[in-house]
Amino acid sequence: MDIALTSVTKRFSGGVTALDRVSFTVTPGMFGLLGPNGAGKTTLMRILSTLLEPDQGSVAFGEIDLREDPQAVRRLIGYLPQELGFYRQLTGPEYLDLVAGMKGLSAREARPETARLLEQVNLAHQRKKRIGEYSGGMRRRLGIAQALLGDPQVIIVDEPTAGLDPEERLRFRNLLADLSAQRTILLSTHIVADVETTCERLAVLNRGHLLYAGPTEQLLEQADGQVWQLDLDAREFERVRHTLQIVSARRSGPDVSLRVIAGENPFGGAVRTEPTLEDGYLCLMQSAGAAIASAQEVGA
Amino acid sequence: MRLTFAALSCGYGRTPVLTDLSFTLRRGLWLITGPNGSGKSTLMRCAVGLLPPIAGRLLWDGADAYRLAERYRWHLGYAPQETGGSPDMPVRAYLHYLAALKGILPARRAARVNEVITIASLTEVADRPVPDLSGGLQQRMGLAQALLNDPDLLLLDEPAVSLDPEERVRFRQLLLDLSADRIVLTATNLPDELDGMASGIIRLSSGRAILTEA
Amino acid sequence: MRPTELERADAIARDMAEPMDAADLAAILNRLDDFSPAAPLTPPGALIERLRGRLPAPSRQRFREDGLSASPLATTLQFMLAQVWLFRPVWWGATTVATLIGLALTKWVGATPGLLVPPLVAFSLAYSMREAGTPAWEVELSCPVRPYQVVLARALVVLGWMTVLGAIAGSILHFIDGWQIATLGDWLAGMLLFAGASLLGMVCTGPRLGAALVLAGWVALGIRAISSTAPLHLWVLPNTTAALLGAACLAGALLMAPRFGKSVHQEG
Repeated sequence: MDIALTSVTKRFSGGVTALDRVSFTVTPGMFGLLGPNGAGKTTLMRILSTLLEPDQGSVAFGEIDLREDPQAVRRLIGYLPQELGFYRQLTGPEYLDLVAGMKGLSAREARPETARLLEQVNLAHQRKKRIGEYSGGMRRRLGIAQALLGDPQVIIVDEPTAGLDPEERLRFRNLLADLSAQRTILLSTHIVADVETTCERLAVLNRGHLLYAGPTEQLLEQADGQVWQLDLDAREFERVRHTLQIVSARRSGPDVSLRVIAGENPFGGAVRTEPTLEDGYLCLMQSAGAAIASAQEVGA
Repeated sequence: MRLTFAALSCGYGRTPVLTDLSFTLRRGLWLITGPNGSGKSTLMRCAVGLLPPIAGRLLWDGADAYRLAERYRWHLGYAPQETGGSPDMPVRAYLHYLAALKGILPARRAARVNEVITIASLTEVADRPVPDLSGGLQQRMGLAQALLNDPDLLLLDEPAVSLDPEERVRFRQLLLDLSADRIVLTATNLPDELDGMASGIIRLSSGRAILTEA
Repeated sequence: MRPTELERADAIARDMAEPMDAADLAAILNRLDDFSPAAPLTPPGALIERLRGRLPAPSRQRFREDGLSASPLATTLQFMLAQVWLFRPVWWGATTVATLIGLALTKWVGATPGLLVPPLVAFSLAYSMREAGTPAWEVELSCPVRPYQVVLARALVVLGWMTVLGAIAGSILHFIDGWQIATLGDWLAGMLLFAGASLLGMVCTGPRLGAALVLAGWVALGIRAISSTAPLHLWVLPNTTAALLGAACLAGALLMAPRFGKSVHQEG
């Protein structure tokens, strides 16, 4: 199912425009959402999960308009927010029952779902434990379970891998990849590598404006010809470091191997390299700067 | 400038979380990685001097760090993983207060506070109350206070969690700069980002730690 | 220089090697105008950045050498004084208002002065140690301070301010109703006793529980005072004994200061 956003605008008191005429379409599969802190990503996700209403513009989940039928939308989506307001006194199953009720599932529908999901996230043997006693990892798994209640067509995930160790992160990415085969998953994250490996399309927000929406490959291409690999010895490095836009560095002994973004070959000694998504993102952010017009969405 | 773990076991109470840690860290960037729950924060707290060793010793330039007590802490700066509990004061005032705790001379405090505010990109929010800041900004403030006394030993527990991609790049640069002439020890769940710059990686698993030098 | 410019330069040099008159020289000088390469318009800032590496760098003056205090005593005094900043305006205001309320109660309801001392002290100390168990407390402990010094400094702020409030309240009562200075003794004794008990309770059980226990004790004392008909001492013990007991508890709490917030550590 597609999620079509048209000119979505949201303002908060104090004159803050969190979203300014944002228009793009979230396509089925994994769709990434990138942007600096304060760009409006969380506001956007809250609007999509019916927690907030846009001031202007419209959102359509397939044929369903968000404004006209929010309850139908709620049945369609699972939301995994960054911070979970849990009820510490409840046990896992009790909490899932509660959320199922909020999603409009009847008790009869919910029971087998709850049991199955707890199995799936490996919390079935902890059914008597209160959430207040869960570890961070367990809380996250419970969050995933509640997001999957009712077999939603759309799953919205906010910073899911913050705080996960590498193994947990890999498992989570695989889980999302499995789920995305049949669903639309909107993944908002600061970890560009996660988007690079799993999302075919993505959108970039900055200060409430859409900077880019389209294939991941094409965002990489924004940095084509501008990424260089440069090897310097320690003294040269000290001399020139302030003139370079360094993306990353590797030390091998006293020498430093740099990955930089530059319009032309820095010092003539660098080797052009293939850009990664991080490079593309950085170039995009640079060129966007303060001049922000409503971006045109790049074709499918 | 060296931090030596000498057959160190540490944990809360009597049961050790980590046993028999033995390695020496010198100038450079050192990463601590491992599954959640493996003791990364425990190790950091022990290195800061908050958790007396259950067995073994922690040595700073050959002297027992716990016996040095507050004299050991002259040399260090620590940013915990979590933020929270800060008093309802503006960022600048809170950094001034911490500067007093770190023994910075009154005449130098204002200038030093301004320096760390600039390094941590907090200029825009310097006059806002700390509890009002977002999680990411509070983490940057944690980094700022850790740098106040220009420490030889910088201990950062998951410092980059709330940073967006651009901030991450800037942070990597900062770490590169800082690790040139001090010991930077950082616990991280994203070792791939930093392992190119690191002098070594300490991997924790099942209560043991293995240091692999680069 | 680009190839064409080099050629031009060569040409000019060749021509100048020939003998020439003023007109020829003038013609060549005109060609020099075309030739002189334009200076790139590099902004000064960028230029300085490029040159920075070639400038002699100041020896890396470690801030620690001249920015940090050399005398441990001076340092300790400084950071202990700095503790005052942790008490925000809300606390100074609230304690003053509470004292005025207590004054009013004494004047118009006949309550014992010092009645409100225990909750004032307990809340103030809980407020002063509100960071215990949080990451902010860890940050403070990572500084070159000893936990007992921090706790002591904050306790002194509380006790000092409360003594001032007590003296003011006592003076007002003295001037209005001729109350004796001895009432201040009640105030001080109660203050020390409950300060000691609060801190000891807090270091053992945490700020909130400790304060709660102390308040429970206060309520118990209050019930006892109201329900008994014979005049009796508010703090059960004579003033001096109460004060000494309080001081002893305070010392005990300071000895155990590193335990503040210990219970809240998690694994990570």
